[in-house]
Amino acid sequence: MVDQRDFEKLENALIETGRSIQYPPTPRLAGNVRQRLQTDRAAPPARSIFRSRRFVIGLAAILLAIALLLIPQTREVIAQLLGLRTIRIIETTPTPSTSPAPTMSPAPTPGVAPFRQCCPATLAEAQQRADFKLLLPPTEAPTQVFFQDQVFGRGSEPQQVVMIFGEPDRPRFVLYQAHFWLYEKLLTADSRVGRGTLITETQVSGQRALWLTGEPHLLVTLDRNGEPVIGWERPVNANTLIWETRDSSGEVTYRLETTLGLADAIEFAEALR
Amino acid sequence: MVEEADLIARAKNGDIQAYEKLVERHETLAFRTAYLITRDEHEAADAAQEGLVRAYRALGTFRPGAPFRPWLLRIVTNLALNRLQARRRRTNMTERYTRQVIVETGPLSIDGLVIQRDQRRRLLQAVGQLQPDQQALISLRYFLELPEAEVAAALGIPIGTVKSRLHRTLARLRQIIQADYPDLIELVTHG
Repeated sequence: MVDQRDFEKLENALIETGRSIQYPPTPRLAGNVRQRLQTDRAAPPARSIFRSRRFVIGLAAILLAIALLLIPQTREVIAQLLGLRTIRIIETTPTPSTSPAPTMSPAPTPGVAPFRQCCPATLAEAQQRADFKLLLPPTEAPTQVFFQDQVFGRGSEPQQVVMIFGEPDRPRFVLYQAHFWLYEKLLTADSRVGRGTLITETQVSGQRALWLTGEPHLLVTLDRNGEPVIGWERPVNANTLIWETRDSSGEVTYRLETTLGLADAIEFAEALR
Repeated sequence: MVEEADLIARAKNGDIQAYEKLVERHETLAFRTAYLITRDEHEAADAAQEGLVRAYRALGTFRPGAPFRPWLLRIVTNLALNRLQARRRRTNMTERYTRQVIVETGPLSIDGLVIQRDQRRRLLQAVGQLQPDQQALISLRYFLELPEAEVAAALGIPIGTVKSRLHRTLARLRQIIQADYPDLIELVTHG
């Protein structure tokens, strides 16, 4: 029950109204479901996983990993679940012969790509519509703001606000602030999308954070069932700092794309209020 | 009475009769949940039945020992919301909703405040002006009187988010009442 006394009468009225709703008779669902399951000759659910898309994708990933491990030149290592709570990172990274510097620049041509996805908004609109508090740097306003909450077709889904700092075509920073949103970084065997992204742990205001640098990677947005959202892939040819916070409204995930180094990214991140 | 966990275990092994018994325990709530969201008897029956079939096929992913009812309601709620979203593009259902669920009982007393039949109808109309997900939230929490934890599981969101969304939804409902339903203003005033 919501605490505020303001709503006591309204809550009680809703409950009483609900109790007086006259529902239609419940149809014979159990029998219908049994008939349909028998007619469909559905496989027992314990075995249904073998037919699922997720299983097929998982099996393909395992076979790919085995195949990569069999190639001496690459000696891929499958690392998984390096991530934070709402970030999952599935990585196929060549074993380096020497340890690269943790702040290496992205290759081959670093640059934060212009943000091309949906829903431009004003900062005021985004602040009004967001379910969570949007963080801003103290001395700089974003040049562009994007508010996204209809990716899955309903208003009840997670929200994401993207702010561009600097020239829109050549942003200095792109800051994602996402409420209950899953990301996944896939490093594929495709030569265009990185096999050499380096992931290091760092901290933002004392909280665990990840710093992605090196070769370009692909940012994939997942829905709450863990499925990729089609059309929301974003190639990232820039350093990326990822961290999370938790407040009264839940978890917020931040991604900061920049061509600057780790120290500059952390300074920007820790100044956000 | 056979334990629910036993029915689930048997259903996981392909025992459709066991699953049928499991469905019998939850079909009314599944149907009413779908009905409150879709506001249409036939759509609700379809959504509930489809949800129950999908739940059977997804039993392999059901965590043993977890409560079954919110897990099932989550599937049904998502399907009902999808149907509502698709139908909202075609027609405005608010009036139909209030006609179909119109209450027929006499006046109710809430802390000395008498809620007349017409006021309940008007309150349902006001709820019908909320966004679909907000209506689902009101339906699950107040109309079906589910605990917040079960609402959270049914909607697939943390319990803290249920609380904050309830607060925002009630605030929005208050705005709607203040703007368009002066006869209900007593429900949103102090004292």
